[in-house]
Amino acid sequence: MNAAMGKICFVNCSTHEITEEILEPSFYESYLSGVGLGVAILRREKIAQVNPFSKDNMLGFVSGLLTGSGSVVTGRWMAVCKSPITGGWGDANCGGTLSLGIKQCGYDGIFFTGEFEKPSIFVCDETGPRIEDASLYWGLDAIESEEKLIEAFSTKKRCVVATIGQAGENGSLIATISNDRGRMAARSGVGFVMGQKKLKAVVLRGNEKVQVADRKKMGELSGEYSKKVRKLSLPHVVKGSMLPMFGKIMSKSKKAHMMDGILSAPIMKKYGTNFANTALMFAGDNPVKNWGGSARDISKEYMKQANPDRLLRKEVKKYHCSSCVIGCGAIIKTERLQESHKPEYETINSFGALLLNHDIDLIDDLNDLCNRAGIDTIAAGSTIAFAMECYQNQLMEESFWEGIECTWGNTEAITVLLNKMIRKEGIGNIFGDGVGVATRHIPNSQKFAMIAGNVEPGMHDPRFDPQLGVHFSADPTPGRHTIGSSQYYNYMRLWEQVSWAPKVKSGTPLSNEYQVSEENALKSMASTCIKSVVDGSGGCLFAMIMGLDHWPLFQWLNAATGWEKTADEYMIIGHRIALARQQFNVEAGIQPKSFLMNPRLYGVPAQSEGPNRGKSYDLNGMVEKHFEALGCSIDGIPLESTLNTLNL
Amino acid sequence: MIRVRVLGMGIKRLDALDEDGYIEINEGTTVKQLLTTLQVNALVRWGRMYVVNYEKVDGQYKLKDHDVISLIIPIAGG
Ligand code: SF4
Repeated sequence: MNAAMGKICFVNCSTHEITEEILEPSFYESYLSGVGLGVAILRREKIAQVNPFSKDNMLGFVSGLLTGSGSVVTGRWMAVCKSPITGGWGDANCGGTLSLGIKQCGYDGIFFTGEFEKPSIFVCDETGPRIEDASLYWGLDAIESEEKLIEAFSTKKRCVVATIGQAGENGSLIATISNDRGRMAARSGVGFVMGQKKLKAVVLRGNEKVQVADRKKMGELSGEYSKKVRKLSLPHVVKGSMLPMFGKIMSKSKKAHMMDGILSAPIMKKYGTNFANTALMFAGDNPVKNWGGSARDISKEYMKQANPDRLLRKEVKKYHCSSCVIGCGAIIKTERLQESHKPEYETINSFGALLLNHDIDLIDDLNDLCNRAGIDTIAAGSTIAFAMECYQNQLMEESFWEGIECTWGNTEAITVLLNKMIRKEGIGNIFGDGVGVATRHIPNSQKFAMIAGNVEPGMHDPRFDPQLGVHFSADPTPGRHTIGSSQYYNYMRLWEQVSWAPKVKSGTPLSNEYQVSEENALKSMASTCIKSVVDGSGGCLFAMIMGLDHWPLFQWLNAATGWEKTADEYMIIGHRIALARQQFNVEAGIQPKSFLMNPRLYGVPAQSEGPNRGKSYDLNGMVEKHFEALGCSIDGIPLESTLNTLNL
Repeated sequence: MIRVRVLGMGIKRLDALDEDGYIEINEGTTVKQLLTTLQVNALVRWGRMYVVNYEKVDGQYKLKDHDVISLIIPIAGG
């Protein structure tokens, strides 16, 4: 079998039975691997119909089809389950090292059902897969437990580990799974499901190799791409303080420009994602004050503290996920932290601008705290923002707040509340499961709940980019900022390879993006399909955005597998995976339209100031058109004919 | 005349480019001259935040037929 290992592993946590299953090569031609493998197996096992809070839920760790094949920026893995947050399809994408680790154990995926009687770990090494007692590790934070497990299970070859922290152990719905000391599979409540199974960790140390059809071609393609990325760098005269001019350019721009996505590599390589905390503030991409504020609420002090040059000074080394030549991550050292992952854009915004917190250094500590506890920083920051707006509007008696003065920007309140959420202590019981659960305890708070289908969206504003709003509201994993946006679509230039993907024409009015139209629906559909191909391959979103004209995803897939598929044929596979995720939700009894996001997020009412002033759109109409383009009813139910065509 | 392509944001004279970003210019035009004509954002020009065919060049680089001039951009998202 080329590219794939052709085998998956099932672990029944209740009976300790471990079984293997060989998959036919034709399976991979239908679903690739990664998220495609995950959704195919969970649908086959009828997981949509089980109670996500019960032991019958299934948790899968899946690798990408291209991981280990000699391609680059394709080392990402995913955790899949039925989401306890939405009651529908759940997946979470993560970098780090686990993806290759899964394949080196001879598997494309490892799936857990049932529930251990006592905390356990799953180990796979040269002696094969087995279950071991976790009593030495249960109770330790995610990073500490990973360190101890690496010490205990590494030989000459270091093992790779995925763990949960206290949040997963304590049953927080917004718990994450950590890998490589704080790279997080953060969304969909995957850490909750792992904790519920009392599965503390997955420890992998294998030696198997990935076979590919044309290794020479793989090398050529990777070499060419890597060379291009390595050569591109930011001129020394360009300083972090200059980057906000990009946001200003974007906010003034009324027409589409033809972009070259790979030219975003110099900024990403130097600063990582947190260049965007200041650079895009004036474009209107960064949500402020629970999505109710704007760049006008952001002080000069915030911009000074979040200047990416200042954050750069804390870096001790760059961080690359497995096989990545971009390396957008970094390890930092501060007065209080010996070594920690640098907070990402999402984390800085959710604990910064979203709360009007101008103490950016504090966010290093909050990020470390979340990484150790294994809790989603987007959800945690968003929940605190929700709490602050509830407090401001006096929705609860003073005594409810347990002495926390939950005012905007109050750093002490942020720290105390976050700690309580992690420990599920007092008021933390109400906020520790995210915004959706908290609304059930606070009457009249729905209007302050900035969620889509119970999920706190990623930190990118759909008033700035309407296609983002379509995916927030229409994806089977709502609130997901990594599926598609008009910006990504423009950068990745899919139309150069996919016959039906509409071209972005230079000079087209950007106001078109706010319209309900066939063209916009085709663009959002194309984004959905390509992201499924990327997630089936183990690819990174950033490489995708940097342009499929540069990052040769389809060509790698052919060279690795020996297939001779066209880009259009890969998009059909992407369509199949996307609709399998959608159909999972339908099978779970979800009405896809119930995921529409809070109206504030699409400009109802429209903002009166800031870069998104006056912007709003017909979200319902756009979502309906998107569903139709995908072959669903306007309510998002896949049509019988579409299911038949896609063999679903 | 030669035909080159300009990709990126902050181009005020977008109307001078066709829908794919191509423009016909006189032979011997430098990259600096072209970006000035297109009224590309001053900071992008001053900071030399551009490459030609993915190679760093200085402003005096004389453009050739089929050259691709790409301007540095940020990723909005992720
Ligand atoms: S670009 Fe960043 S997130 Fe993506 S694989 Fe590389 S290091 Fe990981």
